[in-house]
Order: sequence, then C-alpha cells, then structure tokens
Amino acid sequence: MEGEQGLTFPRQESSRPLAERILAGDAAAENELVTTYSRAVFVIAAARTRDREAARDLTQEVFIAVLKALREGQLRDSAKLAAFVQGTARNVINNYFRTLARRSECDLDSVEAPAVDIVGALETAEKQRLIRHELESFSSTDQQILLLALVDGHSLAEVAKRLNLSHDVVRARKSRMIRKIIKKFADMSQK
Amino acid sequence: MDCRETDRGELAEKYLRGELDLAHQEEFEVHILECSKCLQALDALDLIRRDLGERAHLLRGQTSRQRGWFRWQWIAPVPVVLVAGVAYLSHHHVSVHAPQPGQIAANSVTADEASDRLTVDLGDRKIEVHTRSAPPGTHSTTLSAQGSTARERSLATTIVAFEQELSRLGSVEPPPPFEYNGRVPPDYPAPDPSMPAQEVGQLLFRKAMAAYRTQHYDVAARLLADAARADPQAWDTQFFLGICLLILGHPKDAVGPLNTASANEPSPTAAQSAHFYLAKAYVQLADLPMAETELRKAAAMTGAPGMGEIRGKATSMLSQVQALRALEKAIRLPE
Repeated sequence: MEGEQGLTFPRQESSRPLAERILAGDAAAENELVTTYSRAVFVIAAARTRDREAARDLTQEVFIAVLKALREGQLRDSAKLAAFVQGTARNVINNYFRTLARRSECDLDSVEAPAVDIVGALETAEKQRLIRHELESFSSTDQQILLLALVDGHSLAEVAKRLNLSHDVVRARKSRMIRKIIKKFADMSQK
Repeated sequence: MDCRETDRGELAEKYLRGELDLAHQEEFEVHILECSKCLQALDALDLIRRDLGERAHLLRGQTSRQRGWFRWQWIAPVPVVLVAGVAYLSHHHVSVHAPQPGQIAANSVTADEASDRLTVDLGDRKIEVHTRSAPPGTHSTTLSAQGSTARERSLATTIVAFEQELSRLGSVEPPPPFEYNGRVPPDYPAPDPSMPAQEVGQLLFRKAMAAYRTQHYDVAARLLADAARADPQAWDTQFFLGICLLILGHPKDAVGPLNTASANEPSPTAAQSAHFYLAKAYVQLADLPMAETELRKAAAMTGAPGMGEIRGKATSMLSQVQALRALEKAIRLPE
C-alpha cells in the first residue's frame, strides 16, 4: 500500500548506513553526518592545532573532503565511517601544518579571521561560564591541583609533593572535581 | 577502545597534553567520534584546562595568600624561582623612556636584591611591589603594593606577575648530551690543518660535549662556535650551540643556531627539540607570538619514537604561553 510505503520508506532509509545514503544522494544524510561528527572533528582539530580559530576552518575543510569522498563512493566499508572521518581529519590537519611551516612567521597574526559561528560561539561561551563558575567554587588548593595536573602536566605524585598532600588525597580530589564538572556539563547539554 | 579504558587510562588528559603515541591518539580520536559521552568529557576537560591556563598567574599566587602563616617560614630561604625571577628582572628592566602606546605600561621593573621589593616605574609614579615567597614547589609569590591608586597597584602587580611567569616559562633545563659508543679520549688531538672541515667540526663537537657534560657551558659554547665555523651544516653542533647560549643568557644569539638546527631537519625528533628550545629563546626575548609559533610546530610533530615527551612539554607550555599573551594584553597601553 502506498500509505504504508510512505511510512516505512523513510524508516528504512534512516536505518541504512549514513555513508550509503550519502552515496545515494540523500541530502538529509549529509546534514546528519555534519551534525553527528562536527563537534568531535572540531575538538580533534583544536587539540591537534591548539588554535581554535584554525580548528573552525579545518572542520569545514574536513567535511568538504569527507562528503566529496562519500559521494564518490570512496568508503568501502560503511561501518568504518568514524575511522574514515578521523583519517580525513588527520590528513587535512597535517596539510595545514605543512602549509603553516612554509608560511612566513609574521603572516600568522594577519590571517583573516574566519566567519563567526554565532550559535557555536554562544554555546561555547555558556560552557566557559559554567566551567569558570564550577572551578571558582573549588578551594584554591583544589584549583592548584587541577592547574598543576592538567595545565602544567605534572604527575599526581609530583602534585602531591608540591602541595604537601598525600597522593591518595590528590587523586581523589582531582577525580571528584572532574567528575562533578563533567556531570554538570552533561546536564547542561541535555537541557 | 571502550569508555572504561579511556577513563582508566586518563586518555582524555593525555590526549590534550599530546602525550599519547600515534596509535593510541588515532584510536582515541575514532572513539570520540563514536562516543558522545567521551567527547563531552574531553570537551569539558579542554575548557577546564583553558580556563585554568588563563588564570594561572592568579592561581599560582593564591595559595600563599590564603596560607599566610606559611610566609614567614620561607622568607629566609628565597626559592630558586624568585631568585631567577629577580635575576631575570634585573637583566631585563626596560628603557628609561616613557612607555609608548602598545608597549608594556612600565618603564622598568627593578629589583632590590637586599629585600623582597620590586619597583615598577609607571612613568609619572613608581610603585613598590612586595613579594612574599610561597612554599617550595608551588613556584608562586604573593604580590602586594601600597601607596597608590587601586588601578596602579593592580597594574604594577600584574606586570610583576607577568615578568615572573615569563621568567619561569623561559627557564631551560639542559637536554642530555649525546652519548658515544666509544670512550672519548681525555686528550684530544689538536685539529690538523690537513684534516677535512667536517672532521674538525666533529672533533670540536666531541670536545664541546665533554665540557657540556660537566656543565662548563661557556667552554662548550666557544668550542661549538668553532665547530660551527668548520662545519656550519652540522645540526647537532648548531643545536647544542643554541642550548649553551640559552643557558648562558644570550637568547638572541641562540635563535640563529637553533633555527639552523631545525631547518636542517636531521630527524623529526631533533627538529622537534630545536623548535621547542627556539620557543624557550623567544619566551626569554618576550616574543610570545614567535614562541607560540615554535611550540605549535613542536606540538604538532608526531610519528617517531621518543617524540611524545617533548610534544607533551610543548603542548603544556603552549597553553601557558597563550595565557601569558592574554595577560600581556592587559598590561599594554592602548594603541
């Protein structure tokens, strides 16, 4: 029956692997791909480049490359889409570094600022406010624990020695603080 | 890879510090593309690091302020970092001309080595900043200023905090010298005029490394400079010449040899180290944009065994340099 087909067809389509739907020319699948992976790709690009502005541009480049490859059917095993996106991101970021190495140093500050994603910027600002609020609710010693461990990269043993605390105390406090922030973070994202 | 594994191994933290080897890094990235929970945790950790990095100069001073009783215990044995900071400041106090727009809002910062006071010259007024050392290891000092407006006090203490962070980040831990398979004879033959330039360079380099090992960096620097003249393309000579000059407090002179060492690209590991120490030189020169550029290069290099350590250091230093750049903006006069 036509009506039934009308109901079941999209369900069948959405249960098909994303890569196959993109290969079949499904524009909604392309949007779904971007929605699903864009945050992770941005985080990867930001972590690898340590430059959030560049990471925004690179995220776009990664999706242009991924979509082009998927439309051309270059992904053989559609179950490995995440690995494919990661591999493409790695290549795009490595190309960026090669270009950066060739560019003169003084050009770096004059790179044109990319277009601002206002919704993304607002979300990030909101997250930053939450993080700042939570961190400031911790004692200064607790903040020192996080500073020494997460920013300076010291081992827990070293942090304990520097702050004159026991290793177990440092581990427990650090773990508790991070868990608390991540939970708040998750709660905020679900709202 | 599953979530328990990433949690147990603190993989997100290691990933952000650039401490994962290439295989684990890629595996972790694939995992966060598939797992929204781990992605969220990574995102949160990254924001925590950034926030703490931005406020590092304040946090490092907080412990000692809140544990006031501690101060008196440590006033006599002034911590090494404070000494280094004071030494740095006494070497680096800037010109006596009035600060121009865009420059740091102080003519000079001078240290009175007999006391715990630093004087910040703000042009029409000099502000005395008192320093109190913190417990060893927290590498922080409490800063306070009196006898001026709140804005001037805040500006003066921020300038001193900036200079101290700069000094701390610019400090150099000498990398280990090269080890040789055979023992280097105690008496080195003098270079023979008929000897090829490359061999002369190698001979002088080995002599320099012996001096370097015993921390005679001035002797090592002279020998390495001779070695570099004999064989300018030898990256190892250029690298250790740069290191010695950095240790001896000549960051400007160190830039050339370290640049040559990184450009000659002997191996990815050596090039990575050269970029890292170039960043140290730029920090010592207070050229933070250049330091950031070099650290980005060092942090981005992967693929060879042994690169994780420098990568981790470079990543950590990069976030601190970025925070320092933000602090620098606060103490520059508007253009």
